Amino acid sequence: MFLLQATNNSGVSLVLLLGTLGMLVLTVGLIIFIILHQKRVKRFNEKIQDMEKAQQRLLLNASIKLQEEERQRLAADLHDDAGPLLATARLYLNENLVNQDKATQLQSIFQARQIIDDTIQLVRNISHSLMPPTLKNFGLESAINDLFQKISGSGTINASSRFHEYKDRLKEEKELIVFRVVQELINNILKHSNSSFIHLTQNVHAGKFYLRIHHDGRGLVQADFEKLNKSNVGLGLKNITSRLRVVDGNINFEKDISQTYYKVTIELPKDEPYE
Amino acid sequence: MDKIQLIEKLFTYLLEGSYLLLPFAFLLCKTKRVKPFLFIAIYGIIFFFFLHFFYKIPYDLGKYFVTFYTFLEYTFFSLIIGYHINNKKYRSAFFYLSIVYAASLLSYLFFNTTFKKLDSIPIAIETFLIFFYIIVYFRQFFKNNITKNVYEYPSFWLIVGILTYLGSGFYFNLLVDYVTEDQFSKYWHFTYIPDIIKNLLFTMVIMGYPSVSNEYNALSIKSKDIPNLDMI
Repeated sequence: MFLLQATNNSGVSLVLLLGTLGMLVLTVGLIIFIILHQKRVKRFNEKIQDMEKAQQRLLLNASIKLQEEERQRLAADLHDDAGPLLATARLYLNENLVNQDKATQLQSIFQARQIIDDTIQLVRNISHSLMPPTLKNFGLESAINDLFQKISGSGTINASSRFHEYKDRLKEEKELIVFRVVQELINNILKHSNSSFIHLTQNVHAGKFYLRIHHDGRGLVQADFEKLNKSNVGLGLKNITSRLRVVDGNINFEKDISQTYYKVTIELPKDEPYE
Repeated sequence: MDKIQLIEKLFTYLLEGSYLLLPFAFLLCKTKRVKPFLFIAIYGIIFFFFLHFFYKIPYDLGKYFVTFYTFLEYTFFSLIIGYHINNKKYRSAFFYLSIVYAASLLSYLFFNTTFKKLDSIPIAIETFLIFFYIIVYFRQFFKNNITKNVYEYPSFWLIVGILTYLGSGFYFNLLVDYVTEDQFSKYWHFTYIPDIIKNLLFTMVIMGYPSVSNEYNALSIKSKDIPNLDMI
């Protein structure tokens, strides 16, 4: 307004015209900026979605591959172990058995029984590897303690586990997922880390369930884990990721402050207690 | 009739015609169930008559007339924008701000004695409030809509129309009391240009460009379009 008062008649017209034009240009500029900005945001989001899809495809492939490997292992166990054992038992119990003397008959039956017992044990082992009965009947704590006792019992490594707060069990399917993840981690540690001890602790904090595994061998940090997760190798790690995704869980790989231990922490929401 | 009067008349007719286009477009469009289109059609009818009788209003009543005009314009714009806001908190904030605005208009009517040509202060407040609503609209837009381009949404063009109209006229409306009568009549009709642009954009949206199905999908699906999924 001061500008208008200080300007002569033709100047006022120019001020008004330029002012209005300026506002119009500003408005149009703002609209163009919004359109361009939204285009950039859209492109960025599309890129992220593509990356997520690729990651999911990778995880899915990994899980299918693992499933196939598991089936092959099962098939091999049944074909290579149970098959020959049963065939041998059949040999002992062939039709000529009735024509033989009593001592030989008893010997053959005893041998066949021994073989059938071995086969039963073998089938039990296969079944336990598919679904540990301790986990089903007594829960995660017992299953993990059992697993660690077996590892420790082998004498090659010192393994221990301790559950601090596990009165309210997780849901059955959640327990199975956590158990599988722990199995996979332990497997990796035994295979690659060359450590002298493994220790597992469990706790609950701020409504979340935590499991932490310590070991003193060669290990991974989070950056290595993410790198392996995005590459075509490390099927086991991808399997861990996809399993944890199902239960909204997280996993964190780190090195202890003392730089002597590696820590793997599993975190999942402790939503509903086991019924 | 001198040249300026002729141009002014031409602009006035064009503007009145553009307002009349809105209800006609609504009558011709196939998506009458979209509420903002109905608001715009009513807005077009009311403002056509407002403009038609604008020059016949006695000067004493001018202050009340223009203030009411501003209030109605604010109401329609906030209705159009508010309809596209999903957040209830923002919608209620719009409602309370509108009450405050109405109260401020009343106090302006009763306490302001220096009315000259236009209600600059209410127009400025209206512009700021509508700009705030537009910011809220874009904030929500960028939060939720990432699959399509912004210009594929009908509401975007409605907002562009409002923004162009208010943005372009803001400077002139604010300073209008400081120009002479002669300058006012010389330049007043230029503010009709963004007004006409706004009405043309509104008409374009009502006529189905961009397609209403991009935004008002749920509204356009009729029950007969949904296949019967009962297998028994």
